[in-house]
Amino acid sequence: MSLLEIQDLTMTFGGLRALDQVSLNVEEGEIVSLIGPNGAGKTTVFNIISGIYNPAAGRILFCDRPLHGQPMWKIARSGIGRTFQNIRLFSSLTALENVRISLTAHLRYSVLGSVLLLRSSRTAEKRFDSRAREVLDLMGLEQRTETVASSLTYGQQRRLEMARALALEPKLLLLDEPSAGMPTHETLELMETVKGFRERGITIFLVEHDMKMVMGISDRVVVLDNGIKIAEGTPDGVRNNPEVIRAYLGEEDL
Amino acid sequence: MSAILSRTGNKTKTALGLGLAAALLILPLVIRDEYILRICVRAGIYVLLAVGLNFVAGFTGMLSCAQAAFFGLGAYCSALLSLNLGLSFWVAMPISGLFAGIFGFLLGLPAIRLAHFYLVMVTIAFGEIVGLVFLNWESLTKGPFGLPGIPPPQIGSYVYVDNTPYYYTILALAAVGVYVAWRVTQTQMGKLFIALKDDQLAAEASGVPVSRYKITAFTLSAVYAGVAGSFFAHYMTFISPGTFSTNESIMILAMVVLGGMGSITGSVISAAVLTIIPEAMRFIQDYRMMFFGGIIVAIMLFKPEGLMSKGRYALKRET
Amino acid sequence: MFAQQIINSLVLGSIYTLIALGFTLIFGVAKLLHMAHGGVLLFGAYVAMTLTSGLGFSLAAAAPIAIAATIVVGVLVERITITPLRTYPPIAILIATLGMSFFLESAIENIWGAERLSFPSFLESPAISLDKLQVAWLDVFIVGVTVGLILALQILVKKTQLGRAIRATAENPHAAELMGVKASRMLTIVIIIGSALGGVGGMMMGSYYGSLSPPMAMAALLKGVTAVILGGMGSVPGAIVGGFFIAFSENFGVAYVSSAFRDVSAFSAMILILLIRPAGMFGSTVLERRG
Repeated sequence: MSLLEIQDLTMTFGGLRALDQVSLNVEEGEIVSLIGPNGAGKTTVFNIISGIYNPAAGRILFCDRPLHGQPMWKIARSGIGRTFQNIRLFSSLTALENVRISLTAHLRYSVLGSVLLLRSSRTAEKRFDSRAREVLDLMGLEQRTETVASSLTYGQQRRLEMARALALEPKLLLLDEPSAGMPTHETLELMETVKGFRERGITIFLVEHDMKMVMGISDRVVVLDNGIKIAEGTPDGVRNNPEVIRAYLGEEDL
Repeated sequence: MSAILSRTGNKTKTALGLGLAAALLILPLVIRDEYILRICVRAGIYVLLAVGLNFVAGFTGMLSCAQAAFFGLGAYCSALLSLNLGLSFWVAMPISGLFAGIFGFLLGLPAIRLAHFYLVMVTIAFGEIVGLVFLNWESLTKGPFGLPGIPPPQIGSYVYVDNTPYYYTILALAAVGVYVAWRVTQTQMGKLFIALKDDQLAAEASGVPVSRYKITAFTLSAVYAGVAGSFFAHYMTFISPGTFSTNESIMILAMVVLGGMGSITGSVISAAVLTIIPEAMRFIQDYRMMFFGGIIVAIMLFKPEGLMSKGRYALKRET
Repeated sequence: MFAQQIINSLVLGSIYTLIALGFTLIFGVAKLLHMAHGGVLLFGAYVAMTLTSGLGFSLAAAAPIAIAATIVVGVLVERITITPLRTYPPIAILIATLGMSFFLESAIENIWGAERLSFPSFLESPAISLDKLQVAWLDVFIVGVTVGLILALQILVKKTQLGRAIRATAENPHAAELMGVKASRMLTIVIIIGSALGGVGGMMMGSYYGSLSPPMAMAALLKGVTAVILGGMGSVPGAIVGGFFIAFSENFGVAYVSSAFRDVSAFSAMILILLIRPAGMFGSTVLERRG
C-alpha cells in the first residue's frame, strides 16, 4: 500500500483544464519530487491534497482512506503538513507562537481553567511552549523563539514555516518550492534538513524548481506539463527522457 | 537591557493599573454628583459591549454590526423575565447572557463562512430583523411603547435607588468581562484567534478548525452584550426598540476600531472616552453621531491600526 | 387589489433599482461595497427639498441641481474614504464608508433636523382611474424615468467606448490598466454615474413617500445592497431583478401576511441567499468561501 495514492485527478478552472487525469503514488519513507514548467499544475496538486480545492474528478487516498470532501484542518490533522510557495506565516505572532498553533491538535487546554487560574491550565501552557521549543530547536531557530514572524529573515521564515508544519507530527510533508529565493549554500543546508526529515520517518513530497536539489535528494521524480503527467522515474531516468527535455525547452533549468 | 526596560515598564503599568483601580473604587465616595456617576455607569455598559465585540471584530477580524441586537436581546430577555416571571436581576442576568449567546451562536453558524461585505450585511440584516421583532411582536414587547416598570436590582431587602450601587455593579461586571477577555488572550485560544486573523488558510492548513473558533468568538461577544443588556434594562427600568438600532451597533464598532482592533485596553479606553466626551462637552452632544462617524473615517485614514496598536493583545507582552 | 399591488410594486421596485444600480456598478468596477451610498443619495434628495420648499424652485428645475449636488458629495466621499485606502485590505474601506454613512446621516439630521419633512411630488395631476384601479401619474412617471435610465445605462455600458472601459476594468483591472484604462478613473466615473442614478432614486423616494427623514439613508442602503446581493454582486440586470424582487415581496407580504413582514422578508431573503451561496450570487474566490 502507498502512503499517498492519487488517482485520475482532474481539475478545471473556469473551463480551463489545470490537471488532466493525473495519477501518482508516494510510498512511505520516500522523497518524491513533482517538477514541470511554470503553470504545469504542480501547486494545484498540493492544493487539492490539502483540501483547498475540490477536484473535478479523481480521488486521493491517504493511508488508504479517501481525503475527498474533508475540511482542510481534518486533512492536516490526519497527518499531512505543508508549506506554501509564498510563505504564509502568522505575521504578528512570535516564532514560538506560530509553532504552537499547529500543536492545537495534539495538546489539550481549557479556557475556563485559564479564567479560573487553575494550575492545570498553566502547565498546559508550559507544555505548549516546551513542545514548540523542541521543534524550533530542530529547525535551528532556538535563538529566535520570541521574534515576531514578520521580522525574521527570509531563510528563517522558510524554516519557521517548516517547523510549523513539523509540529503537526505529519506522516507526509508537502513542501512547495522550499528553495525559492535561497542562495546556493542555504539550498545545500535545506537539502540536509529535508533528508533529516526522512530519517525521522516523514515522507516528503516536493514541488521544486531547483534541479540541483531535485536531482540531489529525490528517490523518484514526477513530471507534469500542462496538467498532464509526462514522465515518472529516477532522477537520472527523467533527466534523459526526451519528452521532459521537450517540455523544458525554452526554460534554462535542467 | 531590553528585558530590564520592559520589566520596569511592567512595573509602571502595574502601578498605573492599581492606581486606576483604586480611583475607580473610591470615585462615588469622592464625587457625589449623580450626573457624573450616570455617565460613568453608561461608560461601563459600553466597555462591556466593546470588549465583547472585540472578540469578533478585534481578535478574529470579522466586522459584526449586530452587537446592539444582542444588547437588545439581553435587555428584552431580562426585562420580560422580571416582569412576567418575577425573576430577580441576579437570576435574569446570567440567563439573558446565555440567551443572547445562543443567538450569537446561531448567527455565527452562517456568518463565519462569509466574506467581509456579506458578513457586514448579514449582521446588519440580523440586527434590523431583531429590531423589527421588538417593534412588531406587540403582545410580548408592547411594540414601540416599550417596556416600563422593570424592577431595579435588589440585594436582600436593599433596593438599588441612586447611581452608586449601579456604579459598583457595572464596575464589577466590566472588570470580570475585561479579566475574562484578557485570560482568553493568554491561552492557546487567544493565539488561535490572532492566527486565523493573520492567515486563515495557513491556520486551517495547520490543523485549526477555524469555523469552530470563529463561532466561539461570536458566541462570547453576544454573551457580553446580553449581560450588558440585562444590566441596562434594570438600570433604566424602561426599554424600547429604538435603543438597539444598527446605528448603535456601528457606534460600538467605532469604539473597537478606535481602540485598535484586538486591543482590550484600547477597547476599554475608547469605550469610556467615546461615552464621556459627548456627555462632557455639551456642544458635541448634538453632533454626537457625526462625531462618531467622523472618528471612524479619521482613524481609518490616519491610523488604520487604531490608537492602541502595540501588540495584538495589549494588556500582555511580558517578555 | 391584486392589480393595485402589482402597480405599487413596480413603482417601489423602480426606486430600489435606481438605488441598487449605483452599488452594483461600484462593486463591479472596484470590488468594494460603498456603504455610504445611502447617505450620499439622501443628501441629494434633501438638497432638492431645500430648493423647492425653501427657495421656491419647481422640482423639475431643482432636480438637475440636486443631481449635481449628489455627484459632488459622492465624489467627495470617494476621495476621502475610498481612494486613500485602496492599498489597504478591503476591510479598511468597508469601515471607512460605514463611518462616512454614519457621518452623512447625522449631518443630514443636524442640517435639516430629525423630523420627517414633506417632499413635493414630481407630478400633482390626478390619478387615472381604470375600472377600480388607481394609477397616479407620478407612478407612471417614476416607472417611465427608471426604464429610460436603465436603457440609457445599457447603451452606455454596451455601446460606448467608456462602457467598454468600464467593463474591462470590472473584468480585470490589471489587464485594463495595461490597455491604458486607469482603474482609479473608472472608479470615479462609476461613482459619478452611481451617484446620479442614486440622486434620481432619492428624489423619487421622497416624491413617492411624500417626505424625507434621516433614517432613510440606512434604509436606502439596506434595500440597495439587499437587491444587489439577491441579484448578484456587480451585475446590472441582477440589480434590476433584485430591486423588483424586494418590492414585490414587500408589497405582497404586507398585503397578504402582515405589515411587520415588509422588511423582514427582504432581509430574510438576503440571509437565505447568502446561506445557499456563501460568497453571494456573484461567486468569489476559494479563499473567501472556505470556513
